[in-house]
Amino acid sequence: MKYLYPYRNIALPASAVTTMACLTLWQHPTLSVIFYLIWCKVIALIGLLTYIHFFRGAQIIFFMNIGIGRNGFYFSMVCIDLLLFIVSTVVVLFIKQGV
Amino acid sequence: MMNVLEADSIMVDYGVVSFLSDIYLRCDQGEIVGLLGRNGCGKSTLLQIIFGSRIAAQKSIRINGEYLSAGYKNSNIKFLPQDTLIPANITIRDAMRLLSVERKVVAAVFPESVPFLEQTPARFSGGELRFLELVLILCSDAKFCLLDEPFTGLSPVMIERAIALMQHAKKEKGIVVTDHRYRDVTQCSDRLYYLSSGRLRQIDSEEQLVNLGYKV
Repeated sequence: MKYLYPYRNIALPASAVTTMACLTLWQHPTLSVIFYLIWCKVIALIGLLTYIHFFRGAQIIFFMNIGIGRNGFYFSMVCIDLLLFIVSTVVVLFIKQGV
Repeated sequence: MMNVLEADSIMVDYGVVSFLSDIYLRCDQGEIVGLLGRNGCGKSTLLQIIFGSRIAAQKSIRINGEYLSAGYKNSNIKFLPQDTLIPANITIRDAMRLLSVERKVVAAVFPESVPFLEQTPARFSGGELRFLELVLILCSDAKFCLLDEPFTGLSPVMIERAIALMQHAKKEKGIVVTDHRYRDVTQCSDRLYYLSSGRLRQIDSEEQLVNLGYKV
């Protein structure tokens, strides 16, 4: 569970991007839009991680103190965010197809 | 078994300038080791390398003779950095849980903080937060604690409490402390090291600090 804590840094903006992507996908559920949204999500995530690296980097000492290294810190954020994005888009597509 | 932390063969250089080169630091369980030196001599860098948050060209960090790739792994070493430790978006209660520190321990050592343990660090003043972070590091399950300027922002009475806490904590762990309040460091330390020109040497008396140009 401790790996969820680094994600808190980006939870709000990352969730906002995922929500917007889901809304777009709801309105235009096509393959080209999905590719476009994936790229948008990846670019947004890179931007967020860059921000964390340069402006919130000091907190990594806290996570190291609880056994999460530098790689684990960034990797957990990427994995959790992408997992939430994939689950959200699959759910949207599933519901849309049902409709 | 008494635990022993040793750090040597540390090499850090910035281009052609050798920053740390002649280092041997030893800290036994049951002692407080003071680390003194002028501004910019590499005290914080040395602690960061031992902890594993900074990469060195070469290093050898050992606990009981066993080599560590990074001190923070396996919870052997905890580190209190110069800057704030607890991230702004984590409550004190969560920080305590993540660092395996029980509420009753914090309540016994720092009872003033108890009503605010559900809050984030923003609720505390700089000095209160510093003392609370010190409590969390010293009361964790680590074998060794590295404290980088733990007295910064603390009032004299809080410094006395911090020193008393360190004296109590050293029964179960080794502590390495560096701070520019050298009187407090010399008061609480069982052994003193002085770092200058990349060399770490053990000193036996305060007079040596004068001779070394650390104080007048």
